[in-house]
Amino acid sequence: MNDLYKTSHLQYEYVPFPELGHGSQFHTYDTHDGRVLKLPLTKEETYVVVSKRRHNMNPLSSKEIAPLDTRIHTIINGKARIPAMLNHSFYNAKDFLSILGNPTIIDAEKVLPEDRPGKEWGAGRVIYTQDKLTMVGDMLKGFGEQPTLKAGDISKIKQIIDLYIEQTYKLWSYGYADYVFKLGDTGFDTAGNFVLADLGEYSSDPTFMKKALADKRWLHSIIPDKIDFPQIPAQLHDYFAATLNNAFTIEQFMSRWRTQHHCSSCKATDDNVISAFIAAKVAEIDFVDRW
Amino acid sequence: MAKIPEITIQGTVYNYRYIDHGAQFRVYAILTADGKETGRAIKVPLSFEESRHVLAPHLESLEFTDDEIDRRTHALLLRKQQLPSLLQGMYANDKRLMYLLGNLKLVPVLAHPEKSSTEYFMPLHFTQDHVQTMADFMHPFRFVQTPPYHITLQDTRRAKQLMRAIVELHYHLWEYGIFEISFKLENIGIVPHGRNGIQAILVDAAEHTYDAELAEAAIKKQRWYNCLKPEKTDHLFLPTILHKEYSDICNRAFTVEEFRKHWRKRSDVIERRAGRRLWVRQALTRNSKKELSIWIERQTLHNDLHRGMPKDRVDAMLIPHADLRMLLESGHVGDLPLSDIEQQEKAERTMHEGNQDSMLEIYRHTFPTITP
Repeated sequence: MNDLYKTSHLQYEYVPFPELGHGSQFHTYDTHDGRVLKLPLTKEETYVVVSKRRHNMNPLSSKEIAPLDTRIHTIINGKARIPAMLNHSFYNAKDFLSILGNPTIIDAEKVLPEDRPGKEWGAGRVIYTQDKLTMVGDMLKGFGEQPTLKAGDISKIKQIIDLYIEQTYKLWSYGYADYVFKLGDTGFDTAGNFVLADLGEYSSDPTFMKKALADKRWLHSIIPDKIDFPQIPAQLHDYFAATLNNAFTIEQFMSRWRTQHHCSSCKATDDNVISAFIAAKVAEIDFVDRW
Repeated sequence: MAKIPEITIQGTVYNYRYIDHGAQFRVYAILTADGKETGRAIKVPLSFEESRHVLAPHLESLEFTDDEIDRRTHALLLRKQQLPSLLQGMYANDKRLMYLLGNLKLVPVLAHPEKSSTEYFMPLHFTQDHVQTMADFMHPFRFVQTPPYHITLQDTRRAKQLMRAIVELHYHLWEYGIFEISFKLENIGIVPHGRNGIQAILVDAAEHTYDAELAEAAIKKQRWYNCLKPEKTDHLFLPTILHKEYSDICNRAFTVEEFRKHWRKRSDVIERRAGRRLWVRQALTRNSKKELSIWIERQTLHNDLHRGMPKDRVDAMLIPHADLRMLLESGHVGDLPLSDIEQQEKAERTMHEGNQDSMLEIYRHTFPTITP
């Protein structure tokens, strides 16, 4: 159902923005105008979410806590990369942003309080709005309760898998890639366009992406133990694995990578020794913050 | 009507006469500038300190620590945030349900207190119909053996009518998958209905759950008995003379069998109908993109039917921001002496505690003889 109430631009006018959900990076709120507001979780909130997801609510052992810290670090870094990606000076920025649900960054420094013990955002001080979507993850959860699927449902889920590949290819052509490959983090806007929704898990590093492709992390969507991945119904496991294994190869990736990346900034820095040095040093961080 | 210490706050457009408070809101009748009733009341959110002040005496009597009381208060403040969900989607579209929630509307203004404060998570104000409070309705039934209160045949009819209306109110909520979990009588208000009838409406809807398991557990615990127990100081105490009638009606009405019969009866029908409509639309479309989009809509229908706030749930009285802020900051919870009604309730609770047998005797000799 669409909201009949629209917020106006009066200074104080407000109708509660209901929380539609949250992952490990952002809370999502419905702003009643066909858009959602994404507010970052604090480091402490992320810790709670991640430890629950990975361990089915059981307390963590001391051995488990160390890798958890690394994972939280990665999650925060993922958020920190968002503004650079969205503000990249593409000539056809509108087309690029439409793949991601037309996100718009909000100046977090003006609205988020300073970090204090117990309430820290760190580098993940990123807030944005985005088109409101009907999430594929929600739909997949609904199918989890059904023992068998109808033929019509099977064909529609196959259609979604095919759209997912199509949109992923499009994103690769701009020089960005989702390294988690979570089909549940996609959705449809009101015009029926398929959108990649989760901006905090993207990389522009082809070397890293080749490793992620070799990991075949999309298969987590058919491994029931991976409780943070909405699961594909069992009847479609073979189709899902075969189609994505075939589509997400290093060869396919390299043939599409940055083919549509036309911008005003990348070339200018290529010849600059200092910029190249900084880029190389900063890239080293990528080897620290992957789990 | 018994005397209540009158506090009226003068606003810039309206005046606000204090009625009462619970643990979550203070309630004021909204009056026009020249003092006329508008028929509406405004619910002003309590701060952390105010809520704690209300909760603490009862929790201290149960030997809760300060930390535990803080945690309970914190949870209560969070629960208050779920109230707008009752004004959305299929709930908002049911006129009768909205009537039973006192025609609750959200004031679309976010009025923070002057100083930045963490005492409020999100200070939401609501308006609702100004109705008779349960404490006021029950007042004539207290100390029935002492003049000037003598209950009449008409009074007993009204009491029974009210109890049946309370049952109907709960049933209607259950049919939408909403369960008022506290069974607090003071959460219910009374409105006249027809020539001699009365209707019960939920004036404090913040204590609800959508979880059937929690609901069944509350039924098995027979929470409606709390208003009969003098030690339950966080519940309005039911006049002793009404105890038996109330117990009989509630015991018959609030059973797991009745719950299962009513639970989600209406909401499931609405969902099935909406699902069928979408199915037809999907079957008729020739555009594959559109078809996929409708199919997705069908899969997420359950959630979608509970979202979206229609305009008529947003208050249109244009209560100024300055008034809301003033109401927010004029916290007088805990400052007021007990009203006549509250004193009488407290007295009856104390009397019942020490004198249960004689009170039951009063019931035996009084209530049945005048019941038709």
